[in-house]
Amino acid sequence: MNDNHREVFKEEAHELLAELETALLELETTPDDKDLIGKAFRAMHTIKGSGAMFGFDDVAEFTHGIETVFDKVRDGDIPVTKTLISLTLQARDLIKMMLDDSGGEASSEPALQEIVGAFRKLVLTGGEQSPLTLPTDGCSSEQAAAPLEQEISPNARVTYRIRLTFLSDIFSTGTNPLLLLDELRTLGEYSVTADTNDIPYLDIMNPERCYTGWDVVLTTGKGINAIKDVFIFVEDRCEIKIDAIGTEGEEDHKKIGEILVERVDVSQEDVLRVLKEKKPLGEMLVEKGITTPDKVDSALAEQQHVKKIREKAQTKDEGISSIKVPAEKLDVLVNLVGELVTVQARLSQTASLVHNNELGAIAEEVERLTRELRDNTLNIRMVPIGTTFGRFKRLIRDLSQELGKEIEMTTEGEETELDKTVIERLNDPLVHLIRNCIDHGIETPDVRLSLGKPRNGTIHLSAVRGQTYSSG
Amino acid sequence: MSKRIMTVDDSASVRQVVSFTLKQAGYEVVEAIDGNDALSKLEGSGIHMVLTDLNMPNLDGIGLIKGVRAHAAHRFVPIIMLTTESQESRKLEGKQAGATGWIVKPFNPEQLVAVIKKVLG
Repeated sequence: MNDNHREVFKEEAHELLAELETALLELETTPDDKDLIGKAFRAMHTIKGSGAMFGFDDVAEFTHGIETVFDKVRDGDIPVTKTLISLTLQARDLIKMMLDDSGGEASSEPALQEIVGAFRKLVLTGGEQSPLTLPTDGCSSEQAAAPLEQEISPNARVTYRIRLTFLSDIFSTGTNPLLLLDELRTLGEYSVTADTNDIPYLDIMNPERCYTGWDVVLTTGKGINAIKDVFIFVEDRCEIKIDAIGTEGEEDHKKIGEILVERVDVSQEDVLRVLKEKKPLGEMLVEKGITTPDKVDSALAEQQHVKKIREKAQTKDEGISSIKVPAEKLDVLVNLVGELVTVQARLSQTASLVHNNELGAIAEEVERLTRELRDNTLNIRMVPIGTTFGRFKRLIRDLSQELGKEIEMTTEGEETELDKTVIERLNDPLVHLIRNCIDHGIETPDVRLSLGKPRNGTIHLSAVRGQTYSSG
Repeated sequence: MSKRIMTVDDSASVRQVVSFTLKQAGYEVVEAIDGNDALSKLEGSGIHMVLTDLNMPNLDGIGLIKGVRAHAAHRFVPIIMLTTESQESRKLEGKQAGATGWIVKPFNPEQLVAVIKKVLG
């Protein structure tokens, strides 16, 4: 097996280990998430399979043992516990060490044996600890109305369906519903449809009354409370129904009939009956007076919104997974483009002196193309800072356990792009800042409680265009 | 054109702080010392919003809200009440009288401007 292939495998294995780590850390907050369990299992399965193929036998053998345990987790025989996650994270670190240090040879046999023993014990006891459960702080009826909320991590972008019906005298309180819709729009990606069905004929219409309702489909990462905050002044003057219909990119593509039934705008029986007539469903439902054109338009708008969000999410995923170019090659490209820009400047200058129209036109075209090439090339080096944030999650978890502190990490602006070199150079100072936050900025839970602070400390990492900061 | 806000409070210091904050945020300000003063200044004032304290001599905030809602030219103007935590029942009274929203004292300038933007757009 040639060294180049082994290098490619090592690179791939590192990516898989990073995915494994992310999945494990997320599992800590959502232990029942079957997708995450599957993701962790697949990462180990691939490392095992490819490892054996490229001569990393020890890696393959060790990973096989852990994969077997995760197979049982996947089948529901072993629950996800803190012990399981800690052990698997340690195992992940050992695999990384084996790959880095000695080309797959087991360099720290005692540590390996210790972990294998601990996993064996875990299998025998069927999970030893009580399963991780999600915090439940009195599930309100509103949460029940949006069951997805309980499964969604705080930073996830979620698509909500919001139906607004205002009291008809809402204007008499100086409230302008359109401003509330504008505020809602600032929370994320938004589609709105007005339900104008109750607007009466002009001769009996009272212009001081509100006859319109609105259906909004909103994809936001700010949570359901941010949506409720928009309506804080009008909560007793309007009926607001908020349903989470899926996390970004995971929303099911639904047929118009399904959306209308979910919204309780039509019954399942009506849909089945009308479907037999082989005409567009929305058209038939309106024709038969089962629902109004506005309600159908609104359901169509939701369908389009979800389609758009799914496509965007897919493009984003594909975009990230398809870039794989050695950094040195990019540096060479950037240098070449730099030289090209200099030559192009000389060409433009010469062309301006020669007074030849044709040459002038060519120089202008070269200038435009060079500018685009330069911008695009520099853009290739831009990567989202989210991966770096992900690494800190592990650091914070390990340090807080070591020091007996309870710390939650929140992030914002993971999609902010920075030059690859800048991101690499930010790593060490950020590690230093985070360590300082944990060491000196956040007290142990007992001390925090005695000071009237919440038991958990929070480290918030936020990236915005122009600045990056960390605070404890 | 900048929007014009009427601030109504019997405390000169509160009026001063509120006026300063609003002017800094680019609004024009009309000041009134109580409900009666506010109603007398309403006609032809061209105001876009009223920001009123609740406890005031002569005519209090609730009376002012009812007065504004009965005023032909200004009955749809948004009205924000300045309340305190302990005034929950007064807040309810204000809402029933037709207030648009409220802000709880003490508040900082950013919170005040955020509430105004929420209501005025």
